[in-house]
Amino acid sequence: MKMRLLTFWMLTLLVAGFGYSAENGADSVAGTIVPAAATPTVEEPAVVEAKPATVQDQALADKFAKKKFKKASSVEKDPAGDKTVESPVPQKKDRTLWESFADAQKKLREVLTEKISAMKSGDWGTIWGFLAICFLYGILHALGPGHGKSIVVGYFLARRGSWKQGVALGTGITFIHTFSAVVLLFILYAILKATVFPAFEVGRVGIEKASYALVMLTGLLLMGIALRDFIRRKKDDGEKINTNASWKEILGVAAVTGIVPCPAVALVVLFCLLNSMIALSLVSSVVICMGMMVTNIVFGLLAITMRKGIDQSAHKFGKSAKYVYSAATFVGGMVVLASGLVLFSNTFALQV
Amino acid sequence: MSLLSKIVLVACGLLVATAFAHPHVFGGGKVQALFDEKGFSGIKNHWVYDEIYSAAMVASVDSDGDGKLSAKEGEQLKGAILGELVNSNYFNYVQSGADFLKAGSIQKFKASVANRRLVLDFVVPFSVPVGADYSMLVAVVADPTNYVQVTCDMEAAEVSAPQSIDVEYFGDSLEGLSLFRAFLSHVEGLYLRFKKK
Repeated sequence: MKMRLLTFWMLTLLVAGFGYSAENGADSVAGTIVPAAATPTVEEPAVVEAKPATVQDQALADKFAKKKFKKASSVEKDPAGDKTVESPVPQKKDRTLWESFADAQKKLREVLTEKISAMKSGDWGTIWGFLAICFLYGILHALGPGHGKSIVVGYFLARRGSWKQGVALGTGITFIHTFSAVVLLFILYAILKATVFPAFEVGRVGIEKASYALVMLTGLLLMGIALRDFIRRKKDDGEKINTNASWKEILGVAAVTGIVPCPAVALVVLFCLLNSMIALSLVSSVVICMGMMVTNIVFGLLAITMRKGIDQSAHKFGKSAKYVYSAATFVGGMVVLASGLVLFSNTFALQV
Repeated sequence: MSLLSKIVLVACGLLVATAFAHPHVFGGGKVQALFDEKGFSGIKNHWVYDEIYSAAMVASVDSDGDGKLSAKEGEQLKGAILGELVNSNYFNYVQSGADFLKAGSIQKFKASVANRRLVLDFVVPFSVPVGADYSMLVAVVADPTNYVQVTCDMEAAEVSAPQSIDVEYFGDSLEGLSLFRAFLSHVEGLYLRFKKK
């Protein structure tokens, strides 16, 4: 029964990773901001001739049949109306938990700006509230893709890790992710001053693509190791095969995954710098980093628990257990590969 | 279900679910679909960014440091923000049949600062001729990667058209439209159908 359960979850993980990749095509971190050099050339929109009815048209016709529609006015209005839109949090029904997290981040960012402005005006009593919000913002922000959770989970599914190693990988990825953002921003700020952010984005997008490619390579390596171990195990009893996580590997995974500079940290740091608050910019980056660490460490510990559970269940199958170990490593590698693939492909999402 | 199974379930669930929703830049938007005598002619956009991103981008072009945007500084922002969105159709996705329409170059661009927030106004031109029978379109203004969370309430969208064209519209979810599957579930579309009167 436990074996069946184990197989079920492995398949779930497999389908989840690749199903998302194939179906969604977009989720994370396409670069959007580059310097003025990229001003588009003038071109007219292509005229689209009326097309014959398609399946899509039928679906739309059905929608029109069901929905109450409005009629267009003949007056061109300013979409802003008389006043500027205040960047509203959407008040829509049926928001998912993760969309609510995104909304919460937006609210927290607004409060952060208020607190920074208050401190600039001399109200330093707000600093504790500011730091608490930075911490919470870090926790929520790291729940989004591109912060190494799936790589942490994939790695510890593939390799047996200790609790200490789980904490170390979560901490390492987050620390490098934050540190690279702060260092890149400070270097560019020293050179470019206030014009730094578009240049930061250009740097980030380049590093991002390289990092995702390396993550894919890491996944392939783990899958290769799994296949090699599988073949070795077929030849002998596999007692000598080491599937434990190593500190060297952990350092490599943390460096490859975390090297993408975090734009969220960079924006908060830059906002402090633009308000001439250098010390606060560093303190805020440390506290946001600590918040993000919490999220990644939790995922690392969950993954280690998962692998321990797999090992405990597999022991009951005697000699067949060795295949379960190889399968776990292979699936872990696939999770890492799929994560890198999804993140990499999403940098080119929906280009028309 | 054992404790272990529950842990695995939670871990798998989190792993999949967290592949969504990762905004770094926040913005609110309002849109207006535009028609002229020839048919559908474009989408008028009004975007307002969050204060932190606004400060970063305004500072990047504000060479005289007055906190306001001159025409020249506005043009620089156009390149810095919208220049890289050419291949993403400036986040204006219009489905016609089984494809997205390719946008023309940005028109009527204006950048300003209001309440310490960067405001962009611009028109993304399209061209779909009007005929005797209904043509149907779905317009979405959003970043499919969700790096920039542009929130547009399509139920509040405006549509303007000349007297000679009959246009009907409503805002609704994108459920069932496979071309828009990359977008988050809360993103709405503006459904349009139009014909000659």
